[in-house]
Amino acid sequence: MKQKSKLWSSILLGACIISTGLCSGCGSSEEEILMGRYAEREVKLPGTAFTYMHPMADGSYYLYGDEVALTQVSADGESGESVWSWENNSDIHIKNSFAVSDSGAVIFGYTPKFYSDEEYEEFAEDGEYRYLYYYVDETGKENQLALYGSDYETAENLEYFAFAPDGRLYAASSSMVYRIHAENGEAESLFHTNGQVNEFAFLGDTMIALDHEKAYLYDTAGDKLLEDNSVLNEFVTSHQITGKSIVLAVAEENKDMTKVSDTGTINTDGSDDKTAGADSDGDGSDSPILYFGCRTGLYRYIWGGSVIEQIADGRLLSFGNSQYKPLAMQALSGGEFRVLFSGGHMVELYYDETLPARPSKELTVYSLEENGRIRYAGQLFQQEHPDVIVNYETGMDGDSAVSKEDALKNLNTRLLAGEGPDVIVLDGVDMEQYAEKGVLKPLDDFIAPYAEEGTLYQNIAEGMRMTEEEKIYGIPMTVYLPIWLSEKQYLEGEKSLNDIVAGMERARTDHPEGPLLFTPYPQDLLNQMIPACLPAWTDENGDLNVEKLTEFYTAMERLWELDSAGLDEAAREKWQQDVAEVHEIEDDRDMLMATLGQYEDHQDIGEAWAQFGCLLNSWYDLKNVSATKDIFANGWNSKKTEDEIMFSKYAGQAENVYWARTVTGLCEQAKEPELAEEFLTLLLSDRIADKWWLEGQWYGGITIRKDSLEKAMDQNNHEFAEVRGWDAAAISMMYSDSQWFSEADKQWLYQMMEEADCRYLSGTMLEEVVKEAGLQVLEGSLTPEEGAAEVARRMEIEMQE
Amino acid sequence: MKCRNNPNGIHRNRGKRHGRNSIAENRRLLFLLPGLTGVMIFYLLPFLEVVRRSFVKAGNNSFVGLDNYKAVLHNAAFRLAVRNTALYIVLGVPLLMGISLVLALLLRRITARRKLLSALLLPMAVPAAVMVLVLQLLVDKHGLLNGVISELLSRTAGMSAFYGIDYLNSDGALAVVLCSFLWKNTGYMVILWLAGLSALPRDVEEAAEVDGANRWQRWQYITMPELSGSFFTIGMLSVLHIFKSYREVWMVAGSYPQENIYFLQHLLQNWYLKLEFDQMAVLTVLLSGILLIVCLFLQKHLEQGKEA
Amino acid sequence: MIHTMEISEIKQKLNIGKRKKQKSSPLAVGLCFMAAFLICLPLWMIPTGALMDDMELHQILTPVLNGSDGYAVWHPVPFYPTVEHFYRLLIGSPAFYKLFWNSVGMTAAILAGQIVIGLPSAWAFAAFRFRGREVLFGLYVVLMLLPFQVMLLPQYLILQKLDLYATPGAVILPAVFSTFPVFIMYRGFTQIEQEILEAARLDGAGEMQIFLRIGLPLGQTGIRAAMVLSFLECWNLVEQPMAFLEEQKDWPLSLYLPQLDISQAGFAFAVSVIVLVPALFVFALGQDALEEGITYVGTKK
Repeated sequence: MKQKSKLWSSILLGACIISTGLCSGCGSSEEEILMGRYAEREVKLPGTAFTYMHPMADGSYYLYGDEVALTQVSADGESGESVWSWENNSDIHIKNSFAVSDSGAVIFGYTPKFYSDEEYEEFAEDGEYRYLYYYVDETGKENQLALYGSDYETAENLEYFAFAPDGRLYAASSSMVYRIHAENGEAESLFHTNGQVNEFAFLGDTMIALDHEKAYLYDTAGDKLLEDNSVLNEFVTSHQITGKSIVLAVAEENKDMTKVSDTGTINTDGSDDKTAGADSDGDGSDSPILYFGCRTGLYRYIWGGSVIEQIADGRLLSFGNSQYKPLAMQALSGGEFRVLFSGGHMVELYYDETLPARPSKELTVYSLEENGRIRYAGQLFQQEHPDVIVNYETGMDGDSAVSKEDALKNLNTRLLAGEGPDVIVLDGVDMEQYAEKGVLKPLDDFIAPYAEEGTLYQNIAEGMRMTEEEKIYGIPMTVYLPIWLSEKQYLEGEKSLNDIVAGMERARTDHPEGPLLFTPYPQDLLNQMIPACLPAWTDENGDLNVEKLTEFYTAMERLWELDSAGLDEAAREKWQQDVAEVHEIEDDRDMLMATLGQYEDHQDIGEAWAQFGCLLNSWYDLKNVSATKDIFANGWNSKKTEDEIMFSKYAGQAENVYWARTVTGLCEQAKEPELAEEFLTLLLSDRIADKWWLEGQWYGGITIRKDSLEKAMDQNNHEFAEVRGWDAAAISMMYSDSQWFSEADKQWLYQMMEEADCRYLSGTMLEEVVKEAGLQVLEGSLTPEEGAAEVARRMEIEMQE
Repeated sequence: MKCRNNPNGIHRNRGKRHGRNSIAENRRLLFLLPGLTGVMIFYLLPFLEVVRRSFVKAGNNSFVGLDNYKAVLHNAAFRLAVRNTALYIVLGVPLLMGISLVLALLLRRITARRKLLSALLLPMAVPAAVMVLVLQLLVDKHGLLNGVISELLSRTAGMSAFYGIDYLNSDGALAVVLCSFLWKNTGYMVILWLAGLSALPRDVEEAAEVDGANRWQRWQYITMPELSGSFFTIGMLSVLHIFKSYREVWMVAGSYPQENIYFLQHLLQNWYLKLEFDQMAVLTVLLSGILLIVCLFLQKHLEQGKEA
Repeated sequence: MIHTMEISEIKQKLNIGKRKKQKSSPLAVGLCFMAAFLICLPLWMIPTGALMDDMELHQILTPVLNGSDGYAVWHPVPFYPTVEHFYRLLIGSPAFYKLFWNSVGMTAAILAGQIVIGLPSAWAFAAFRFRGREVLFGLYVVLMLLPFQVMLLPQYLILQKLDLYATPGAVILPAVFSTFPVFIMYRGFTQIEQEILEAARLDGAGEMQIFLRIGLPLGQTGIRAAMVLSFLECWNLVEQPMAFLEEQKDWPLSLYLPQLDISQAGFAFAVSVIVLVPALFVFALGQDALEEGITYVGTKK
């Protein structure tokens, strides 16, 4: 018996030792600091408008841009020689495509400007409205090419040209790659493509052409399409994000490359790359190498190999900056590269052995959902801190199955394990709970200098102060202001929620037919009314104020009744369908946003007498409230309209509410606290605050920087200042210029900003419960009192937890 | 009845071979060692960490003794969750075991049981997200179930004004959860019962039948004792699946559902979202303590009851 | 070595070969079919929904979608059957295949690991009486029952230490050492009578031999049951990969289903049809085993 228990305990002990040994063994192996990585130096160009580069075998290159002459630049970049220029003498065409050969022959194309249908008819009759292609040979002899189907209807737009090293010319339309015979102007179809080919490279007799999803390999000597290379295809699919985002360069036989990469491989893609490096050693020395440059970095592919290895991390180079799009790349001797980016930005990448392979410092920025403003700031920060790697993480990516709760659980796991991010964007996160648990760092000291200088709307920052600890833990970058829009007579004397109801009663008496509010679905009404009311429902202790909530439900019930009084069920359903149909054009996600009334851009159908919403931006984003009747009938600019229809600050149950957006906080456990503060400083600087439109993405909200807001208001940019909406029959989109902001209007907005001191944060538990019960109230299955009681009951469990 | 296991016999045998015992024992436990090591690393160590954290304040990691325990035991939400979970287990486990046992016994008598078994198992294989979708379509206030009821009412009783019931927000929410639990897990348990029944010596059963034992007697004296081990396994697995059904409940009814279906895992999850790991740890320690006692008790009575 | 004597003894005990075919009673058949019908009725929505186009789905589900009056209905057969969802899934989304094979690989690795690791453990618990067996086994059961939420943080810490976090190993290893299959296989082994084992031991058979020659064949039912059930667990694993795998390229298919949303019902149904197919195969395989169970042992030897 004794022996047995001894045995048993020794086995347990053994298991313990093995397990702890395993744990500590793996944990303690310290990584060696690898030295060496690619860095870049900027190349000064004789202009900024260069959009095309053609590399030559000797290291020199041609540069060309729409406004600039074709320039031949020597390998050292010292001397540039203007070779050729072309004046555009057609006012209905714009320059489109361009290519130059090693010997200096040039091809370029014009594409017609887009005109209205009538104008097109006119031009088409004249035969002027078509693509034009010109070829200029080495001697400077110009020749218009009558390429296959050059008239507008049947021709394909050849958007990309490329000269092969042997001087032959290739071109790509949106679905075909051609060989162009410049001598007789013939276009020979080579192969079909699924998308627009936008980058060519030539490796001996093999042409590599990339479209949005794959790499086409074509044998130019044997004139046949080669078998797909799945390694290349996979790379293209995952890295060709929007339009042209990959550039190629070729090194036929370059032994320097392998030397460099053996030490310089940055392993961000995980262990795959290590094995890749090993297996490429064998055949690496004489196989040609194909280089890929894209947003995530520089990659190499040893021709015929099975992997594409990353050799430089894009985040540390211009590649990672979304401001720059790569246009062309050239592999130089000694493992260097020359890359031309949009905006006339050209850099040379060189391998610096004195830099650590990966910056030792890392700044981690976390947000629950993708935030363009943060992403942009991260890139900017990265460019300015080459010794830091900026890591922007999002908890939920688009369509994936990760719910908000799952994402938060993962974040909390990291926080509890002491491995949290440095900067947290608190949108959708329970800021108060995080502050209470000591996750967030008080920002009082941080914003004190701002308060002194009066840079920010201090009232908004103050509005973020927690009731209990009396400290500020998060600061919004922008805010939305709740407003509403209606005819003046219904707006007068608006002070409270009940006044709004009274105003709508008057409106209903005047206009018995049609909808009153722009709320096809009941949830739209709730969504639009909640922001300015929610802060009033809890008292200082966080307890629910049931009377206020009952009052809210009573008002909502009445508003819904009033709205529905002019709209029978069939009409409402028709309306809902119209909304859904228009949104079907947009992608599904947007539709969801719109039906949930997220104040995105898509609410512009239908007609109503009043509309609630949030002022999304300082000076042009009024489209949100564009659907109101009469705006289009009378024209937005007419004095009459301005007198009759007005905006008003929407005072719900709470006053001076602002909807805080991109609320950012610093983590108490940040590993790089100084960098985190610096990042927040950058976020609050005018360099970010002045930006509202980047890469086709809209960064909504009114900035809380006073100077940036004033600057935006003074920028009377008519191109943007438009009001958009659908005509009454919802058939076509209408635009009208807006000069909404008079001096008085500006003051009105400034005043509203000055007064805003009551924060509203969306997506709280309370809001969700109120919406759920609210739908039942509007549906009639609960009375307002019952609805409020239901909310109280639900929230009770939450409070007790 | 026949005594199939003889623990005393084993002891006697062991006594006889005392000389080479230790080597044999050593070898025997080598069977356990690899698994045990892994369990230690991936389950036991984490569990010990949970135990440690139950005595420590979340956030600043200071030792607070039993404070966390006091806080949890005085928490009203905790008591609600315990009550609901206990009720769910008390109703769900016997129902599931009963229904699946009956089905298994019936299936045993059917020659064409294979396709039926597949059918019974299907719900188990449906991904949770789709399962929730189906459930939602069924029990929504405007869902199919209400649709069928209103149709029936208007046809038979001539009632036209049937107001749909929002099942998941009514007092009957637990019943909905129970039904979906049974729906999903019955097939699973049938498989396990069948596995248990397959070891049943048919000759004994048939002999008893010949001897004139009636159905009940055969069940009582032959089937029941044979299945007592399976009772333990299937009971425990039923509890496991009660716990696992949480994710579906959460997906369909949210973090704060109707109060009858607010279970321990809701509490755990909400605490996790609020970073209250200390309280979670307490709950886990209490829960595992109870489970361990129950498990040992059942093991003793069901497992060894069979052997005696 | 096991003597032929013993094998015949085993056969005799288990009464193999003598089993006579029983007739199914019509009542039992009826009841079983009814149960199966009831259970499968709601599932009919999955294949039919997968074949409906978005318009039809939207139309019949409007009351649920936006809470308007009336009730949702279901067409038992789609009015305008379409394979657009399958097309979108199988042709239009290359990511799907990646995830599918991830799932296959992950599940295969886990099941193989469970056989290698879990099977001997289960045997040790069933065949040997050692000190602390009950308590240790009880502990295994409790560890099996613990909700994943609480193990999330400490497991994360361990996986970080072992450098496994964000690798497939972070999901596979804990699952391999899961106590769940041990628990089920143990049940299968307890049905082997200790007498047989003792007899074999007396005849000088080594423990390994006993395990391989007696344990494995006679524990078949339990092992196969454990594998079928483990497969179901792994195939639909959601929480672990979501917590321990950072990159979407490593995800299993179970995380492919887009965020629950009735407006995408058709697509979700199509995905689940595809997800269900491998499960059906496994059922078929597993059932052979369950059906043949012990007969299998008899015929093989």
